[in-house]
Amino acid sequence: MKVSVLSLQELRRNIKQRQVADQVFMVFALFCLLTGLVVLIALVFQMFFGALGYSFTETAELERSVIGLVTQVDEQADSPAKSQLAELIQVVREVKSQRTGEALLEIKFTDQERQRFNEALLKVLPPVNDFAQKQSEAGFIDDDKERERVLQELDASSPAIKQIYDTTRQVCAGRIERFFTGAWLCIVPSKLTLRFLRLPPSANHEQAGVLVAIAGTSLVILVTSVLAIPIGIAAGVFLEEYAPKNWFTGLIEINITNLAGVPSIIYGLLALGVFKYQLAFGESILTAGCTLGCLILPVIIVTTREAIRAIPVGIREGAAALGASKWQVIWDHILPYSIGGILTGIIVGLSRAIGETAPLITIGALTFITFLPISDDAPFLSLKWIWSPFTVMPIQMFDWVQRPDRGFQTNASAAGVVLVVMTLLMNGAAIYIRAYSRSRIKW
Amino acid sequence: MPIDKSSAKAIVKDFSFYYANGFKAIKNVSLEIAERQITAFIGPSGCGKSTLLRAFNRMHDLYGGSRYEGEILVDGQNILTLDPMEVRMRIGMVFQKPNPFPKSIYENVAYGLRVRGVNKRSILDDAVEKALKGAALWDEVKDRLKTPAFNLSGGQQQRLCIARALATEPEILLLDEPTSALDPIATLNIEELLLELKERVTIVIVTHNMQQATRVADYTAFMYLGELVEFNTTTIIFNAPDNQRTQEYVQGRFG
Repeated sequence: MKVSVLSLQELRRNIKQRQVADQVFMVFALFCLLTGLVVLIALVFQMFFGALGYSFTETAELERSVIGLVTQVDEQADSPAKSQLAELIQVVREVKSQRTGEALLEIKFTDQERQRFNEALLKVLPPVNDFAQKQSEAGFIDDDKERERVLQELDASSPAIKQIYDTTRQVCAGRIERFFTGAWLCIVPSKLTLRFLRLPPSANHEQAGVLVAIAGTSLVILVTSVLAIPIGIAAGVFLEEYAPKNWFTGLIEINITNLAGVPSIIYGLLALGVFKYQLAFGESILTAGCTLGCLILPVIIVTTREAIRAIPVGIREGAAALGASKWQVIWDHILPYSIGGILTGIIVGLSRAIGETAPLITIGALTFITFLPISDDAPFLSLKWIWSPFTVMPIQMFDWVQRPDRGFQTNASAAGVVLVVMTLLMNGAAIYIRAYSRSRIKW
Repeated sequence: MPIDKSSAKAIVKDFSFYYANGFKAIKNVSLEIAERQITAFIGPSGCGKSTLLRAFNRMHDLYGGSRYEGEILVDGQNILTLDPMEVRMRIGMVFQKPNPFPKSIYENVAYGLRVRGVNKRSILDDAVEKALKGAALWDEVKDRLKTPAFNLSGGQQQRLCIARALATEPEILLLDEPTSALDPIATLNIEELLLELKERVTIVIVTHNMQQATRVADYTAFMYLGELVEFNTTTIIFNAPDNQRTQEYVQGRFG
């Protein structure tokens, strides 16, 4: 068959086409990179100013809610809150008088109106905020009678504020409640103090800290590492170096690869049945460590095998030709040269483990725990702590996020920052070891 | 037979080799390797010359499923029945592509001793110096023994691999196309080195390059399709071979 030869013109056109394709791809790749960067920036912003961002998106909705609230108070002839809301009522009346044709809930403020509205709202906010805070705190009083008494006292102290607060809940299903509790003014960095790190959890968001969760996460990750890293590396080495290549090892290989992608909740169920009940480890750090260890084991095995496979066959044969035993080849060559890849797998695995919530909730990790999992009796190095109940950072965050008191949302965001920093520290250590081990090996 | 059996370092007796898939790569080969001489295996690609060479230090045992028949006697002892590690400790090998370890020059050369459990600094220092001198590399690297071996040029890396194999003072040195990845100058250096080394060690070399065989080898074996076609002194193989096929191959008419 004759191969058609391009003329010079066709050749140039062909080159042009391919260059255009190159550029199109480059633009696409750049776009993808920028998208990733935007997401990253949004993530950091959300992390530090999460509550603030929340108020931005809900501004219009909040305005409509406040209009509804003010209107309702305005319509009640004997409302005690009327004097408190006088300025707001004035603003809303003016706005309404200008928009006779529009439905009440579709009013949109002009910038000037919004400014006046916000000024008026800010005057009402602090007392209502205070009221909401006190009510929230009273809710945590254990004794029923005492709680009732405190709540009644609170209601009686300022009927006007109580009415505004109650109307809020009726009219806008708690939307303004969140607003009133002052969350939109909170800024996460101010929460990130040493005090926050040193305090145990508390019913009061002001006094709640992440100490117990940090301890729990650190210890669970420690157990996970001790279990998963040696077993994972050894299993990877065995599969790659010792196991014969047949259909059975092929089957194992496929299964391990698939296990790396199994949803974590499945591991939670496994742990619930095996570790918690069958082996009777209870709701302990040991159970959590075993669970997360199982979770990241496939990741470590797969990356270990990939890293080992990347070593040229010449290195193996060269070492073997000098009379090295299989173990010497592995220990002196295979492991040192693949440690970079293996550590990458460990980083990926542990990063996944540190953020896991679902399997730990499944095995019954606590959401509220105020004591540290440390044994007091000397020697403090005893391993008693592995039997201790615990909580971890993601569960602590989850607990805080679902609380009505908006102050805890700030705590949750701050705890998120702490968790990310913990992950970075852990990964930083691994990356340092990797860089160090690679610097000693030059290909 | 060109070599007297009593003076042979190694004797291959009716040797056959089967890969894991059942392919018979070497078919009933018998030859002798003369002591402190250079024996070259030549032949077209796929003729089994590398396979035969690798059988000498049991490289095939690294990969399961292969099978030997016949005997390879080194000093009267059948190495096919010995522990592969023992065989490899006595018979060194240099590969086609320079394969230094990604460690320092010093550690590369010392590794053969380290696997034997020799860790005493003074012994290692002496052995490294002796091996590097033996591989004609000492003058070039004596000031940078601690630098990575991968900083060396291709030819230096290959000489380093020879030094690595020499450090343990093997009885036989196997070279599998050691210069195929090197430039002519580096090739020349290696060839000169081999001629020096044959004073001390028995050398078996596989080569694609027939001129190389004429330059360095005392004996040459021509292999074709897994069979030993002809084995004789290099002079006879290249000037007056018995076999028609050998004649055609050494004259470059096929292969």
